[in-house]
Amino acid sequence: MDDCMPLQMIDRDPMAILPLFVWLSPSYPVGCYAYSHTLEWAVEAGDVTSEETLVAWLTDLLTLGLGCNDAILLCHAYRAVRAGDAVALEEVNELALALSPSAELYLETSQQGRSFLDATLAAWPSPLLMSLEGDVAFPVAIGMAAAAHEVPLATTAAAYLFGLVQTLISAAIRLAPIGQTAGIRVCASLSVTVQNVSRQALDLSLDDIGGATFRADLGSFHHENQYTRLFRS
Amino acid sequence: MHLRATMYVNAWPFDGASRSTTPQRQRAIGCVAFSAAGLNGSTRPMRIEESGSMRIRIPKGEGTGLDAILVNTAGGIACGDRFTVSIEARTGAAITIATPAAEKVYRSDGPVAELAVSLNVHSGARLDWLPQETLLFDEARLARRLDATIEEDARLTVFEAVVFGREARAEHMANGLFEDRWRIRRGRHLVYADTLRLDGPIADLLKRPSVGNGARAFATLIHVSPEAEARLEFARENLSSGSGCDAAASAWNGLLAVRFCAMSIEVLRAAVIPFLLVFRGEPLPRVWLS
Repeated sequence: MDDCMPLQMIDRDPMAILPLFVWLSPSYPVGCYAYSHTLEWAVEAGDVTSEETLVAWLTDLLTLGLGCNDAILLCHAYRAVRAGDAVALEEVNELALALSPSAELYLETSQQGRSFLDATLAAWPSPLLMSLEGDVAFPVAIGMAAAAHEVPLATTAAAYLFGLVQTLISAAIRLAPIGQTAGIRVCASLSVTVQNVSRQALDLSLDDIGGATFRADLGSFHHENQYTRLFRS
Repeated sequence: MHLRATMYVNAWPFDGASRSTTPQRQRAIGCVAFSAAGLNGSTRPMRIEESGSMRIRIPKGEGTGLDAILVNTAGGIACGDRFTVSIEARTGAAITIATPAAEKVYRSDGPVAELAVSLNVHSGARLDWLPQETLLFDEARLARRLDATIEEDARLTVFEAVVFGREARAEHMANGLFEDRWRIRRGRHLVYADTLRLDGPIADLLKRPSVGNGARAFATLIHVSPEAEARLEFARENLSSGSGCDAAASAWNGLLAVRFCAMSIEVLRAAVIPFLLVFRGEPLPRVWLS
């Protein structure tokens, strides 16, 4: 589906990945710090209580559901933009939004996606960056921007997952008895998983999307009624 | 249950028996297409097509709606079986579909059994898809898909429960495949997509806190209707806590979702049955209680 020439050229330019450092930085105005993707409930329920249990929880999110699915969606959005296929892009976005298992997880992806796309359209415009109407899923918005600005796909997918991991670790540091150093250690220890998941996603189809994290999703239902909450998800 | 127990159990002996004694069998294929329409305040069957081992039965109903029972006369699902079910609720119809007992999925020596359900709900119609639980034996391999299309002013309730081995019989689903793919379209839009996929070491996966924390029975209810979001508080009030079944609800974009997670199917049913009674505001299909 990709045009071979431009993609090969993209991959040869080491500077092409620079925009990712800005787009996925916590200071980019998407408000990622407001979301914990069910982690706040997992801490409340006693599922995440330590460095070890945090690694297990995040590994599951990456390999058994969210991480892998978001990487697949990002790849397909990227390729749709590279191919100039607006219909395929709309379909990927519709699927990405429909895959949200709860009200809060819908908000998490659609609010960050819309904010990211609006900020990027304003600050990093490109004739290739289409402006989707209505709600936009976060991984779709990242894939669109990377494709429009010729950032290599494999690096974008891995960087997106690393950004997700960092968002969740910073939430864990605020919620659980896990210190800064332990948080950094968790982040480093997940880098192999991040690379594996993003690499596999390059070859997966939209039909491969799926997950096993039934109880984590149920936790996001519970989070809506959690008594004290720092996070929106 | 009675149908299968009396007619087929003897011809289908390997409820958990070892693979080496399993006789070679013909792959079962079954197909049902059913539609009903609303006429003068009641619902009448319009079309029934059956082939293979799938049948639809319509017991005399008590309410204004039509209760239909979907029967798999093959007495379960085994490797490589293929079943297709298509249900259409035409304008003004009110249909509830149930199954007579748990659907058992037996061990497979490789091939994946497939079950495809397609639900179509027209303007002003209501369709409740309420099969009883799917029971997976060790090394079962099932890929199921449910595609629903509903009009903006129609009402759809989909409920499915799955059990990975029966706790009471100390069955353990060490390995297997369960894939459950749901896609719900409302008007012109895909509004709900979910693929639950447990592939490989299922018992180990179920122990993980993000998956089941040791639970072996899951259920999901999705309700799509103009009032779905407004019913969230009512749903929450009727989810019992402290029964041993972990359950909660969420609502967004015209959907209401309820999930149940329990150590056994008995505990799960004890939470689900009172909830369905109150949530639907009418008795459950009789087969559910026999």
